[in-house]
Amino acid sequence: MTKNYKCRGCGSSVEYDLSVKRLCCPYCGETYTVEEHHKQFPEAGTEVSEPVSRIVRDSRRERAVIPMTVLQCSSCGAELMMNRVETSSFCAYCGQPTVASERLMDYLEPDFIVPFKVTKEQAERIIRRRVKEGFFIPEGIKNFETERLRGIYIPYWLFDVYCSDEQLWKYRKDKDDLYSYRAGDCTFRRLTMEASERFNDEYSKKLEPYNTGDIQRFDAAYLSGFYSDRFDVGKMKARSQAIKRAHELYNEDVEETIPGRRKEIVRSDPKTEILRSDYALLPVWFLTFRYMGKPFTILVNGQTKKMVGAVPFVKKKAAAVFAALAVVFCIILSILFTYANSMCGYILSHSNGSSSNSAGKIVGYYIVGIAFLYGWTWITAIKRYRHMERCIGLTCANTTNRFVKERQDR
Amino acid sequence: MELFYIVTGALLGVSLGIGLALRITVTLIMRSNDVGDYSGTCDDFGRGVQLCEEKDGMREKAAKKRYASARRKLERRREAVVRRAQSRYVSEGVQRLQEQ
Repeated sequence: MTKNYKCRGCGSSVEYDLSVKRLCCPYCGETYTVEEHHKQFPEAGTEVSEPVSRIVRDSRRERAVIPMTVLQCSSCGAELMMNRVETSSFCAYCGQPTVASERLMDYLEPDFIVPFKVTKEQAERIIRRRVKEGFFIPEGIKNFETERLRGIYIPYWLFDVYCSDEQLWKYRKDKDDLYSYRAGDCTFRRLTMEASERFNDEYSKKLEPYNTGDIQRFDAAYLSGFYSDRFDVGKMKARSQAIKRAHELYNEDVEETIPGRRKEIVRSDPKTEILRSDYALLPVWFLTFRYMGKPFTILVNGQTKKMVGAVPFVKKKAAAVFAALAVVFCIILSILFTYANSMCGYILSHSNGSSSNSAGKIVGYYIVGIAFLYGWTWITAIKRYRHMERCIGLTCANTTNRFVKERQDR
Repeated sequence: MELFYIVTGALLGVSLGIGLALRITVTLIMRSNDVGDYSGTCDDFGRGVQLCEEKDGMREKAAKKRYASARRKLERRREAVVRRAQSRYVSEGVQRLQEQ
């Protein structure tokens, strides 16, 4: 069963317009709030087309083909393909926005929705502005041609989690091992746990935080004009992840109150209660462009405008900056170390008796200091480089591209 | 001897200089090309941790003794929070049903 939200003036499909926060008819200009539309036209959104529901599968290459359900567009009668988790899409022929209401009802209907606040144009502008600012970003990316820009409601579980704990922390202060006792609690309101298997978890975490204060009771009319998925990560699985996350956040917060260094929990008695769980749809814009034949997908939080993504850098520019910095640092540090080495030699050669001990200590500290600096510099440099590579890999990951691509075009 | 200081100084300087240059270049590239890192904090999801008891600078024996005693307060707080949440959840559900 599909639902189309029709204009009562001219009969064409209405879409949720972010700028006025109303359902608007693109043809006659009539506008309605979601509530007005339901009140004035209680049967609205129920123009039903019989589902021609079947699973499209190729028996010879079953693994290579994604199971799709075929519905029928109630406007033009064309076939409308949806993957197993989609709940709203567009007709490829007449462009009519369609909500698969049967799916929403068959599975758990969302409790809440955060409607899109960022328009399509705004999302594209934010990304273009940001990539133009980047010094190391290639010209090909700075002037990218948008291959696809889709607004998708991503399913999330929202948990209210109560965490209480009595902890004994051990820390080091002036060569002494000391202990701290902390007893406290924390209530996490609407802890967001993404509920889509196909959408990368690392990507979705980066899109956070959402302002869940702006949340609305779910109404399928908000989906009109956007894509949306239903959850395929169960509540129980998300629940255990939420508890784990709440503990991590709790411990991080308490750790900040512990003095000293080398802090570790030696005893704890954590208690967790899930006070409430809700199912919500949160908005994300996905923009895909191609660079050197590879698809890159950058995300924009549809509520807060937060942009997430990493793009390749111009290797020549990076090499030039690296060479310039390396020359400067090598010269300065070589002079400094030559001077420091000769000072150490001078101290060692001129020390005798009791002063030789302190001279040895000074040289020892010097060597340890250099080793520490050396290790810190190289380890952090390599870590950061790997992190960046992973972020770029995430942006051009095929899974993200497929997640956006395998939906019917308007 | 002078030559030894110059050679070791140059070796240390070059290796550390290259490391520092790499670190700074990677940081600059990250700032230019990567956006959107986030690791959540308690404050994003409420008021943060409310400590009801805290004590620092204890020795091991005193700390373990402290830990072994006085657990009642937190337990009562937990029960009260859970009770409040349950009643709120029920009343919201009733209200929703009435609206429907």
